[in-house]
Amino acid sequence: MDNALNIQNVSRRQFIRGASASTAVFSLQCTIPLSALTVAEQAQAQSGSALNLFVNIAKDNTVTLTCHRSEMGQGIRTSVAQVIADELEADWQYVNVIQAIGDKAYGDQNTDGSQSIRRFLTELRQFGASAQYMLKQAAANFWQVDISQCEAKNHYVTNNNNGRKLSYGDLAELASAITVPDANQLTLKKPEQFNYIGKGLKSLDLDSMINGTAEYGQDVQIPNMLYACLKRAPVMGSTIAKVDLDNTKKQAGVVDAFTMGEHSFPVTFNAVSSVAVVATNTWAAKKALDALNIQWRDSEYSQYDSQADVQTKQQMAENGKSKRQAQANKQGPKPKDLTELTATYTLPYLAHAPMEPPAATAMFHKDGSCEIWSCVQSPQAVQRNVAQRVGLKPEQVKVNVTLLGGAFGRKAQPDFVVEAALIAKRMGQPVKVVWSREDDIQHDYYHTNSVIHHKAQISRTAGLYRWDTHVAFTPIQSLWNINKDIPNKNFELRDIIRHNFNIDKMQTHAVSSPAHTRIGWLRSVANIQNAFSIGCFMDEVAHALKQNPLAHWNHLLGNQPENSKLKNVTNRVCEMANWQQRDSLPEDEALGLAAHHSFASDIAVVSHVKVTGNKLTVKKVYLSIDAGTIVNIDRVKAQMESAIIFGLSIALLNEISFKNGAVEQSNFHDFQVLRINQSPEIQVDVVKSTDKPGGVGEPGVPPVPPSIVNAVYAATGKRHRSLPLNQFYTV
Amino acid sequence: MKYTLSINNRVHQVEAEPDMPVLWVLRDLLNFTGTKFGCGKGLCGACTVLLNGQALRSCSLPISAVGDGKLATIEEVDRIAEYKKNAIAIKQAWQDNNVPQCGYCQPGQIMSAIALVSNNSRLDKQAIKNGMSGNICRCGTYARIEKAICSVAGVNCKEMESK
Repeated sequence: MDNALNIQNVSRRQFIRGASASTAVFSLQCTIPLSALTVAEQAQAQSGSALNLFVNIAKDNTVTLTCHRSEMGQGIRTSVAQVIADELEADWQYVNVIQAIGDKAYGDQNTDGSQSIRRFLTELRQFGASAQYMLKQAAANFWQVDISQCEAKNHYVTNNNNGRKLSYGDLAELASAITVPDANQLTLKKPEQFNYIGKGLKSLDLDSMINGTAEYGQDVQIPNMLYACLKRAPVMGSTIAKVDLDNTKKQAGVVDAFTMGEHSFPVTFNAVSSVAVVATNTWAAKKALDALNIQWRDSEYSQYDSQADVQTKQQMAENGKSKRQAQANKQGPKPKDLTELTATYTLPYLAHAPMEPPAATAMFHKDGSCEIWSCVQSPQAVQRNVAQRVGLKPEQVKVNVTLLGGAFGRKAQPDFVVEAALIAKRMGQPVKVVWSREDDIQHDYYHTNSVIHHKAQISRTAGLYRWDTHVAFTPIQSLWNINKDIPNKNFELRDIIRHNFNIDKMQTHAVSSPAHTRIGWLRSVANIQNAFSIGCFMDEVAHALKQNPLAHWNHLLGNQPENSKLKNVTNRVCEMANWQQRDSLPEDEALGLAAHHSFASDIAVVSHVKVTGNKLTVKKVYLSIDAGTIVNIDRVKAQMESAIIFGLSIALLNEISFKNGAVEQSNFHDFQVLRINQSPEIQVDVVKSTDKPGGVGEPGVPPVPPSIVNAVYAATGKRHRSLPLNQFYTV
Repeated sequence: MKYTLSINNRVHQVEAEPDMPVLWVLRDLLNFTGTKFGCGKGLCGACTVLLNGQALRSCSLPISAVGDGKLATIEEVDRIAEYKKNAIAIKQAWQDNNVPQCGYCQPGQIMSAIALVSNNSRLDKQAIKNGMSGNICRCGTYARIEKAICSVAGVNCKEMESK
């Protein structure tokens, strides 16, 4: 604690320095560098009294809490409010939440990596506790007693000498003048004292989502606004050879039409080469655009064929045309009865397909500054990227974050906001850029296709002795450097190196896999292919050794302390699914198991399938999770339900393919996602824990697809190593 | 062309091209943004509205086809006499089950559910699944949607189990 002695006369800035010092072990990026100026701005923007960046209390007792992370369905606006309100000792009926604009003052706002709670839980609690302290100190000053005589509980401060009470509304103005306490003056609650943390409180956005008033990026309406639709280069790096826009400009409702964008590398978040039609409504813009005949120039990616690409990658991976990335050797004796087992797993490209296609509204103010309204995961990335392309400083770009109608990583890339800013600047008028579903499916930042080849040396007497892995997939770093062709060892390969497994020898190799399209982050990222290949191969090895897959998992996870949670959830889920009695299921039904650690959480899944002839039905999916401390138990369960459906879409249906450099799919008829009539019964188990929190939004996805493939094998004896399974079955 | 539309029992005059889908009339011309744009091809159900008691995908319904039909949208469906009872019950069931995640598809889900419950006196679990299969939820709230509709339709839906 760098300012432990400096208790007197601390500013708000120093409070935060204290807070960040205490959480620095977590991550340096998670600090919220609050400046006094920002507090003033926030205070002016609201009618009540600002006690800090996150807490504002009005005279009528209303507590307005700020959520600095984007809401995309994970329930973060409610969870952030629960955390602050708990330490604040606020009465939940008075709590509402507002969305922060993009501002460095909030620290990292990039809502990705399942990190909102695990990074910010302690700091948010401190903000709540700090405001509670100030309310108590204000009451103590008013009653002229020591703060130790005052108690804050459920929206009131009580004077313990005489039982008198003052409400938070009464105290708000006085409290706002109190010196912000140093972090080490704050006493945070013990878990057994929590009022809201851990409870399954209803979402604060429930009413607006149900009555249709919730505002998403697609819904933004501002006065004098125009609508723009774009036709973008179908192939990466391609540009416009010929287009005639004269007739387009004459169409009803059309205001202007022009070519825009660039084809430069690195691709990052540029507006790609395109034709934009600006009109008085979305339909007019879209109709005029669809009537256009645009001729595109070929680029070096125009020959790309993803089917051929997978075959090439497979040959390279299976023939060891790869570079070693990691290895581990233990000093066990080499068994004499070793045999070899190999398998190659392939996954196609995947699109995010959030229900809300991307949309962004931009306008330029008279002072030259730009204002944005959009459904974005990272408002500060929007500030930087827009500023750079329209010639402003990031702080001259104000980003209002709407609700996100799903994102799954897509809306971490601000390319669509850059388009809106460029067009609004050109038009001198507010413009909303509306992406269609076709735009969304064909111009995504895709989850890379992948080939993973596993080679094991196994022994009847000693089990799995040696495990070598050769991976072939494109790194996300290719967005910034098109020549990057090997996944990042500390990111995309981290979860496949698996040196925590109880195995004597392991090596991980990577095949050169250059980019042919824009690669991005999709819910759980490389864990999808890593967990798929590991989860399936574990099952293959278990069967080759004639072992119960559960026993095999238990053996490989061993007694290593870092594996204890994964081992626990694996055994819990098997108990829940009646795993040991699986032989008593009907002939055409079976269970499949997979487990995976990612985003600091441990999750195991058992899937129950029925295969009748060509028809595959997923009857039930069981999931057990240990995510440490839980903030909202109902939203954690909802995220697991969500991850199961998302994982089933990957296992059964999702595929993006490229031909002549362009995506072949265009809408939900050919990029299929799971529907309600295909969805199974779900049973979720959440381990009770007071341990530090893990991620929740993403880690449920990876173990789902391998559990399905393993169940299909158990039911049919057929081992499938490529997804989606609708290439083999009706689902 | 000038059109006179009945939306939520109120008369609205709009000027639009005859092929303009009701979705864009609602969203861009009349500011009823509760009806969502999801696919534009009638594949996802996010844009579902009620026309004379039937659930329709407004993205594929040209304004010229509406005639004197009565449209209902998510914003006021629970105030219209013929839907009121089921609309209030469905919305309450959505509350009780904390159904939405991102929420974007939910107006369409709710409109489809209201039509399903209103137009079918006898439903079972499979009929509910079939009836709702035109509405995609990418967040995967299906288990809760099913439970919510079962509770309104009086179908014995096995509780979602959780420890």
